[in-house]
Amino acid sequence: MKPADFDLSNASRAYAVANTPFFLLRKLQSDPSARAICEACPGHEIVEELRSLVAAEPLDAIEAVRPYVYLVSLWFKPEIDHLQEAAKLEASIHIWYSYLAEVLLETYSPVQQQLMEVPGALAAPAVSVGADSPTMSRTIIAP
Amino acid sequence: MPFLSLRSELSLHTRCENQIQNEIDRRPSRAGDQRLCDDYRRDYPNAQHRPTAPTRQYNCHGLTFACRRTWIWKSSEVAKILIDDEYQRIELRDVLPGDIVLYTQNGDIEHSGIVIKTGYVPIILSKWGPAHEVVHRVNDCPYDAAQISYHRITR
Repeated sequence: MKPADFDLSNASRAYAVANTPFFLLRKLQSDPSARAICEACPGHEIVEELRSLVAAEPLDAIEAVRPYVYLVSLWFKPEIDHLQEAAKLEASIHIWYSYLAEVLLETYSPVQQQLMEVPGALAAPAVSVGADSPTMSRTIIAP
Repeated sequence: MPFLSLRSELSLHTRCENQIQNEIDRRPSRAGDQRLCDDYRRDYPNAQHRPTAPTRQYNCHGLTFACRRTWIWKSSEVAKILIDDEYQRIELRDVLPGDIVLYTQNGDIEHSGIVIKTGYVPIILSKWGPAHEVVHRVNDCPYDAAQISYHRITR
């Protein structure tokens, strides 16, 4: 799937009543769409989409929130490079873009992946626990 | 009507003559904005939704602190107003029409409004982001009412 294929209706609902960028940020960080984009799309693809998005005036409510969703999806990535690249984009059309990019860079914390050897047999060959936020560890238990 | 740029900042000061950072966004509303407002009208049937169109020219803080003239989005600017204009924090039992209410989440003042009626649950006039103005119970809105505070100018 491409970033543009995801349903951003919840995100646009949040943006429709956002008085402050932090309100929008909190909503997007808890919205499944940003995490789903993070997991389904490579970082460079999201940045490329962002590059074309931020240069144009959004025509509808979904397009208006899309750059912010993409920023948050990059924040969920285990590496910071693409978020840093996105933060450098000129996006004055989107009033909160630069501000939120800066906030996301400041609060960025990479997801940690740990391989844990567990003695004895396990029913499942592998168990993956998704992290609720990038500050949590993602634990993968290998048999 | 003079020529106005699509985005600009008003000269807006606190009582102590400190500039309040603000931004008027005069760009027209986008496709879907009205539909989202209608969704909120439907989702909050007990509120009184005023017949105002979605606009980014002012937000809740612009309504509460700047006579509907502009959009104030930084919490630090709201905090500056509270200090410079000498707002006093008051308890729920003492709230009167004309006082203001702030909704705070993790230090972010995410919403504000003006109390227009008191009682067991105060009734608030506010604007929901770029959406329309709403008269609503203090806890009947899309903002977290877990941390609300009331404030008043007494002189």
